[in-house]
Amino acid sequence: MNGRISTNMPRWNIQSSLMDQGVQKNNAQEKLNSNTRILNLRDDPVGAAMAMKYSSKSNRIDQFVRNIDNFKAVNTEAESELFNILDMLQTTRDLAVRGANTPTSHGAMQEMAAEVNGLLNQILVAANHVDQNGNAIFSGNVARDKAFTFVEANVPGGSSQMIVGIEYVGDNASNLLEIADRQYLEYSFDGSRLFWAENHQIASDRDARAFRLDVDSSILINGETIDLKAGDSIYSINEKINNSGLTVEASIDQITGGLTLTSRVPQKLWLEDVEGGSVLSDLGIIDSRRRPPYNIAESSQQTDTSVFDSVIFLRDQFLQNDIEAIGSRGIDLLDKSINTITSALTFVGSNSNIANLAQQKLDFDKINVENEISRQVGLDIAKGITDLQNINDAYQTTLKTAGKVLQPTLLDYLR
Amino acid sequence: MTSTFTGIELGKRSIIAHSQGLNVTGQNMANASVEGYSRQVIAMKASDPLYFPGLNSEVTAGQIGQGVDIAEIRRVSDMQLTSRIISSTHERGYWSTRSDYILRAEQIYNEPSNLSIRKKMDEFWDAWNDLAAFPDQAPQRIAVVSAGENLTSSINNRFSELKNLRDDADLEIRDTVDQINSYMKNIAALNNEIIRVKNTGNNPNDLLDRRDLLAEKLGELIHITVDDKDPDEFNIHMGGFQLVQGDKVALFEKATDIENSGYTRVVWAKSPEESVDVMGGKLGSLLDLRDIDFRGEIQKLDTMTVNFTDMVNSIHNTAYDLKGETGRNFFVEHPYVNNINGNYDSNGDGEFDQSRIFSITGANSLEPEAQIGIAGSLTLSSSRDENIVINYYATDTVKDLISRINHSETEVFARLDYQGRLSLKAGSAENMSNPDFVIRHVEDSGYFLTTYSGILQNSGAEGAFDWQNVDAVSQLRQEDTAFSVAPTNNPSAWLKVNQDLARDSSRVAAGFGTNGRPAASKEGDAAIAIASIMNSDVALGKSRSFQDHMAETIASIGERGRAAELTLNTVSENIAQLRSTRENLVGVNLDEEITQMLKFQHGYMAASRIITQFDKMLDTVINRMGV
Repeated sequence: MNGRISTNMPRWNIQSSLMDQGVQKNNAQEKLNSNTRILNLRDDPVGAAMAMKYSSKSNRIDQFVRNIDNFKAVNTEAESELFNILDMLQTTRDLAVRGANTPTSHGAMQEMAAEVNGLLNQILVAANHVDQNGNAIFSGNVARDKAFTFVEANVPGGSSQMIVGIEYVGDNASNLLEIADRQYLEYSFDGSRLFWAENHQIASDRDARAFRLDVDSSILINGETIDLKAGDSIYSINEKINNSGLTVEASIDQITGGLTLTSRVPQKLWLEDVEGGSVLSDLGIIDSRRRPPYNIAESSQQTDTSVFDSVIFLRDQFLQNDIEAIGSRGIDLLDKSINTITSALTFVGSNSNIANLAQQKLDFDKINVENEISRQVGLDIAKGITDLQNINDAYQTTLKTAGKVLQPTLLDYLR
Repeated sequence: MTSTFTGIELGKRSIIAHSQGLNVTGQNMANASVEGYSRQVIAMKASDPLYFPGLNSEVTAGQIGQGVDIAEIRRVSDMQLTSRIISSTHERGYWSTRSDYILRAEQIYNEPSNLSIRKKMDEFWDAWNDLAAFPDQAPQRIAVVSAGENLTSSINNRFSELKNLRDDADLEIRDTVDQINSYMKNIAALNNEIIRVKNTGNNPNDLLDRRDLLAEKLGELIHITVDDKDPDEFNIHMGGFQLVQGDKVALFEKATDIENSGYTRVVWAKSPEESVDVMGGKLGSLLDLRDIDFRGEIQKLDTMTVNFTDMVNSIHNTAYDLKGETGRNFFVEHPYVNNINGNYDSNGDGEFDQSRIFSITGANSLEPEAQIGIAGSLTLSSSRDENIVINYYATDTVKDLISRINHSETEVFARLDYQGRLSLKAGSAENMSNPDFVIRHVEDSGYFLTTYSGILQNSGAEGAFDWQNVDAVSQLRQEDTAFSVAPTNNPSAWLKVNQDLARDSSRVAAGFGTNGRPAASKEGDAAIAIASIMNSDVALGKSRSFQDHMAETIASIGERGRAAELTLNTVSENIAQLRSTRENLVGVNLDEEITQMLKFQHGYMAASRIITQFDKMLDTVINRMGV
């Protein structure tokens, strides 16, 4: 306890207190004005860092929601067109069943052929549906106004030129969109998978049993790389293909000794050697001068039937009045086509469900994240007002105390 | 026998003493509000009495007093307390400066807000995500370029702001050195003056006050201790160095530090090659802020920038644009080592003498969870002077070893890139004499960096990559290993979006293509790969991702700000206590002074009355006895 107080001491103390309280008052007011409890990082460094992370997360959720919206817009269009195609295939099948089972005149068969041809055109229009940017939605990642082009020619029994072949001009690469952290949805539609009725099989006529690789190389099947090593025989190449996890099976024809590749699901196979390599080319599977998927070596035999091929086949049988072919191969191909489109719809619908579920979760996450941001940086208004009032009270008290403490000196009482 | 006028003499002495007392009181009252003023007191003593014992002394009863004399006028002070205050104020100088500057840095980070780099980076990733959805569309391409430009602009601005802080600190260092020299010179001059006054037998009260005040002010600038054990020599020390010894002074000088961006180095004026080991105070704080805190912040920003640029570019320049072209960087940095193999002429003699490589990426794709199956030890450059050795064992997974590298004291960091290839990257250098973002040494006694990950050609010291060798990249596996050269200056200052892309957004590469063929126009896998960098393991120093890096950066600066403020409050409180104790001892109390004034006034009046009485008495004797 000091026995002596200098005259200036209480003044300095009060001055210092008033300055401190002024700063505190200003901070409390600023916090109320900006509705935040963190004016500077030092107010709560960990809270600020957490809030920063949550703000980023909130931003990311918004991006995921935007991705989902983009995805759904395209997916809904694809779903709608696939339903449309399915309806048309069902109608085509009805015609096929009627044509195969009901005795029908040649004229009526011609009319049915014309109707099937009309349906073929409509299916093609649906398969070439374009999005708001004018790009075909079933062309994979290729931006063009068509996924499929066609070739017209005279058909036996037909009176005018008709579509005789359809070529896929898109690609098989899949585009992904991130809909949640490290969760992706396929955003592009590969026409060579969605519109293929039968498994694709390619059988080389070149005897490969003595084949052995000289140098390391790689082959690409459906865009996936399979690495091969120098010294690999055809059997080890087969094994690598079969163990690759791809939907393709390799085998050696017991008679010709040629390599046979068969897709495990209905789709068109995309085969090529890696740049600089020549394995598939040497095995007589592909012609390296052309690009996939239309690069299968002419010497190879392949079965390759698309949904369009199945309808074209049916139309041609109607035109040729071949009831037996309609009832057997025709209906069989249509059933496979319907299965293919149904599978595609299942895939699209399943993705749609995944997107909806992801969106629900994101909505829930967004609320939590916003709450967390609010908890980290938001000001409790009641507390803010109370704090300000407390500081104000202290300030007023200091001022009043100053009046007492800085009382007159003895000088005031002397004459 | 006493003199006739003894009484008058006695009264006169009293009048002189009391009027001097009034002067001292007046001086105290006049200086009541002067900084550093210590109140003065007048010490009076009874004048020597008549007579001292002796043969010639008069035989009379008792000794006869002769009034009052002034013994001394001295200031009230407590040198021990003053010394404590002087040696404590450096803490306030240190923390006050630190708190103010760190607050400025906090405001630069702008978090949490929508104006921060973090927000701009979020927008950049968003733009790539949007591009992944519509890779062929011009608006999304333009948005990516625009988001990139916004981000680079924010990074450039932050660099400027942080550099401004360093520049401001440096400017203040120069001013502070001048102030310190000025204080030291003034104190030395006062020492001289004080001794001269003392030699005349007087108390140099005001000069002592002035010296204490200057010492206290000096104490705010650097950590000093004072010593006045020898009454003729007032000394000031800093650590083991004597700054002031009486009228001698060891001055500071400002030199240019080439290794430290040309900033000021504080050296001894008498030996300019020797740096002053500044301790505490404002100067110590400014040096720490400039060379540790803000240099560190710029290094963090550079680390983020150089890694961010490298990762985006490494994807972008392998992807294809809408024109089917590839090999173009998204960001450009200037200046960088302008030699394809990273060869660099560090001493400017016209000959390459170093290899400055920022990153090396191996040829082989690795599985993070796969066991290595081989044992060995890596030797990598570190924050210490010598390289450090990191052992790996057959049972380690790739992930384990990467983690071990990144959590060691090495300045080389490892990660798997988007293709699973091992990438080694240089971090910022702790030692100013080493360049930032240059891999200095990579060596493997086993086969992890050679055949396993495909970085080095050979194991052992002879197969090591070392930056002190020209063409050090010849030690890498030539065909498959990728490397990038190091920046020669702060990457965050120069980062820009490639102007080719700004002029033509179709140059933005969004797809990887297939088998050497350009990407289809709706192929967005490269865009997705760039967008996913955000949450990828990027091995940014000790941070896992860019987001972690930014969060750690703001938490760190905030914590430093908070620590500075709390410490400042504590230190200020302690010093306020000490000053309060001293002020109450040496400060002027007006009531006390007025009381003194009354006392001296009445003493004066009483002495006057004595003289008057003696006057009357002598008047009676001289004029009225009728002689």
